[in-house]
Amino acid sequence: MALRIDIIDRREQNKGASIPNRRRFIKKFKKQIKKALDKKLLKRSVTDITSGETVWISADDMSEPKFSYSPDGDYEIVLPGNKKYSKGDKIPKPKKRKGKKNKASNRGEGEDSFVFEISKDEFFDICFGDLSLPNMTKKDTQDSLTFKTKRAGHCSFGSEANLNIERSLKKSMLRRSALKAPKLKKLQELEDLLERLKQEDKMQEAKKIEEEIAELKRRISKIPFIDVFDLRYNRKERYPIPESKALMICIMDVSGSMGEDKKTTAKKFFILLYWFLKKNYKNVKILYILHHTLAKEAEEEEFFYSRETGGTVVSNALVLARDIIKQRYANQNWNIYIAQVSDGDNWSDDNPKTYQVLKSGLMPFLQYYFYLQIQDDESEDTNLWQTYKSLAEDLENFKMQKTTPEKDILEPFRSFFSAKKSKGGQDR
Amino acid sequence: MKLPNPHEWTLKLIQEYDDQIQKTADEFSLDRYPYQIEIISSEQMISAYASVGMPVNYYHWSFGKKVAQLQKKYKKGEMGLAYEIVINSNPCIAYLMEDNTMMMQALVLAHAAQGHNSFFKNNYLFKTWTQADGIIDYLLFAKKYISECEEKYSEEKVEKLLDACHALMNLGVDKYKRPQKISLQKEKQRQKKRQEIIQQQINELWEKTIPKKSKKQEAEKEDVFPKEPQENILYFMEKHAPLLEPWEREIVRIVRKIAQYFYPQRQTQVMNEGWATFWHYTIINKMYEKGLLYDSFMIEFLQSHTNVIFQPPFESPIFSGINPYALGFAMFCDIKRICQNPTKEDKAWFPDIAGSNWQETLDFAMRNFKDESFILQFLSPKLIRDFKFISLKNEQDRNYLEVSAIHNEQGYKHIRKVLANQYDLSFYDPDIQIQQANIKTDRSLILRYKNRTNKPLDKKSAKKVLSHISYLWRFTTILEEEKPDGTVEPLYMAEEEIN
Repeated sequence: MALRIDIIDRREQNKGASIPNRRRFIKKFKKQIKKALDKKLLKRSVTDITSGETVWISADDMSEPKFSYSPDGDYEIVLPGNKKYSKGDKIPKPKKRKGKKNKASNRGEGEDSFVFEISKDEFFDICFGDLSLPNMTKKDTQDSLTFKTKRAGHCSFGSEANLNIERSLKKSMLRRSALKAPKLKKLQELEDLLERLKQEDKMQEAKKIEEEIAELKRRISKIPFIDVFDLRYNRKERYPIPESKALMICIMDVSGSMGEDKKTTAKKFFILLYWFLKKNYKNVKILYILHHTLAKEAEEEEFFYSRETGGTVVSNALVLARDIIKQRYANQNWNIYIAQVSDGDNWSDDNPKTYQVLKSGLMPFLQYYFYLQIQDDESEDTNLWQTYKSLAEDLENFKMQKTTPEKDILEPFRSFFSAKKSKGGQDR
Repeated sequence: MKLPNPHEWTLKLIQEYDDQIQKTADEFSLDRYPYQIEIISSEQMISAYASVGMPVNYYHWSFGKKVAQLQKKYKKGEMGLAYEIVINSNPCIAYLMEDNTMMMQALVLAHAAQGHNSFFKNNYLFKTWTQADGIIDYLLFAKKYISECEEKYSEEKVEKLLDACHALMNLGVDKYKRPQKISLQKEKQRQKKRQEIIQQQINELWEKTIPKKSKKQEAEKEDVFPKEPQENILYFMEKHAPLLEPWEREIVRIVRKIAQYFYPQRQTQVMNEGWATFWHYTIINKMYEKGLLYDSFMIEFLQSHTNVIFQPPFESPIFSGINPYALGFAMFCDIKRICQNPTKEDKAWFPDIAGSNWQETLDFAMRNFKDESFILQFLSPKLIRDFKFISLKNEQDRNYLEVSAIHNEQGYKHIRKVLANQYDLSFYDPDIQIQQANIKTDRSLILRYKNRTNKPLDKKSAKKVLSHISYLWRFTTILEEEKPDGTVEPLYMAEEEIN
């Protein structure tokens, strides 16, 4: 007779049992994964913030070694499916690993590379997880998105989950004794009276009293053990947690001297900035300013796809930024940042004004200023670079970097926002 | 009454199928552990598959790596019959994956809950080496213990230690001694005691072994430690590595115990899969004969079964070794054939079993062999012809492989011998033992590779493993090679600085 076997449905249990292993795996190979992802990062389209990635890393890096034989040693092996060979035949040795490797990598993945999927959260976490906006010190509760609850006494209404049993029973006891006490007193009196009447043998009056006692007892028993107005609930109060909110103003030079390659690099920089901010901060607002001789505020779409061109007057962009801040963001505890990308080629008469606006009009309101200059020859110091440099020397919250269109944009990007390398300035 | 065969399974249907499968298996008097069936998702299946097929295990990055690998494979549909996991425990646990069709669930039930289950219970290697009663509890203990160590001593330290232990997993078994039984209760007590005593003992060992001046010469004579070369390197580390902390010794021990649990599986792949495949095939066919199954079920079943036992020839681009399901299944079927309808050839080759009761003979074979001896004993000329086996010989300085035998009269015995040897663990695992620990001098450790058949070690992996060993030993570690002619040469040296 067959035993009836229990079938246990475990599908809902142990979900994500391998997450800790996954975390350890990614942590161990973070360097390699990051390297692989950097390439992908630069190829992504601006709006693609929802998909994961496929990652290739060298299988050699993550081998789990065991003692084994070299494949060249002497051996004898049995194989199935011989169709044409007879004893004594000589079969040329299969080509060595090298050939195998090439063949494999043609198909995109071979024994020498390890391929796996990274989710979108892991992707951005690996790329931007260790970056942050420096000097983000202003906090405010006004637009706060996160709340905490704290206990705030008791109240007479609420959800059953918050019922405070101890308090409710205390209330019930109070009410019952308050209602009973006079009745019990009366009862005592009547019982005494009854006793006396019985002793005096006044049976008729005694019977009346007895009825009265019975009625009183009935009333006492009718007092409910617990009543709705006994119930007490724990009161909880929601209060907002002070949060910091950030405003990032992106200023991009689209003048004629910014060639196509420089513009592409600049846009890549801002895309990275956009992703980084969107992923790492909840309360963040990004504004865009395009400028050549004139400056204007742009929408996201326009900023990343604009095809304008012209001469260069940097101060106009800075003035616009200053006005935006003054008019819209001055009094609200915003942590304000500016990131500017230019080729450093400014109309030379404009430099003094640029210096002035920046120094007295903008910097007092800013947490940090990031300036990235893209030029063909890195050793050259342009007039704008020199202007900024003279300013930066006195300021702790001014960072400037040079790069070329050929160079990896991630390097200056990371050095702007990695907490370690910032030259002090935080939490002043 | 036929069992319905919808595409989608239900719990009730699985139960009905299982009742019939059990009944049919009982008609063949298959002896098995009681078992339970658990339904899991593909994600859970992959996760269990990655942690060496166990439902619980300690955390390690390599399991995360395997999950990533398997997910990729699973999505591409390259997983074969990996839709089944069965745990060698008492009661035996058979996992069914939710994505399987009803037919697949029935196939897996017959394959795992009957086939593998009875193999686990009765094969001598499993009986000797694994303790089905204790394994799940022990893994729970291991997981908890290692998690605590991670908290106390940092994830990095534990990881490095586990990496080192994993590299030595194949060298963590006493091949000739019967292991002691694991019991969770005892293990906990023992672990406590060990922790208290062990460091003390180690210190004592060092104190005693520092030679006193007057006895110096005398000491040098009996200086060789260990007295005999030690094959169980993990055990040696656990007991004798000078600077390991008690918790580190415990983790070495955990990895060693788990390695030991899996030791039989590596040696019985062909038999175990062959046995399970033979029984799912036999049971399902019997059920069909009894009129329990629809033709549509059988067609789907035969298709899956054929895929499972598919063996591409060696020159095919999809060839990836001998399929253990194919060879094992063919051998058990062949033994049955020899029992029932022996040819003249069979009678000459297998006088003992030709014409005997097939169930008894199969049972005997399942109980008393491992892959190597099973092939040596039972591989018939007919199968060698069916598989068109060929044996190839490689010598280092030649640029060709020589065909040493093919499937003909002159070749049968040779092929059988070579194939059997291929399933001996030494075919994959080089013989490396601890030769000497210079505990009285510089505390260096010498390992020796005995190269008997002119097979050099793979350099890259050998160096890496050596550095793992030196991490455990924490002093200079040397690997030397004993050549076929008996001469000994040092190969590599790894040093680990003392913390």
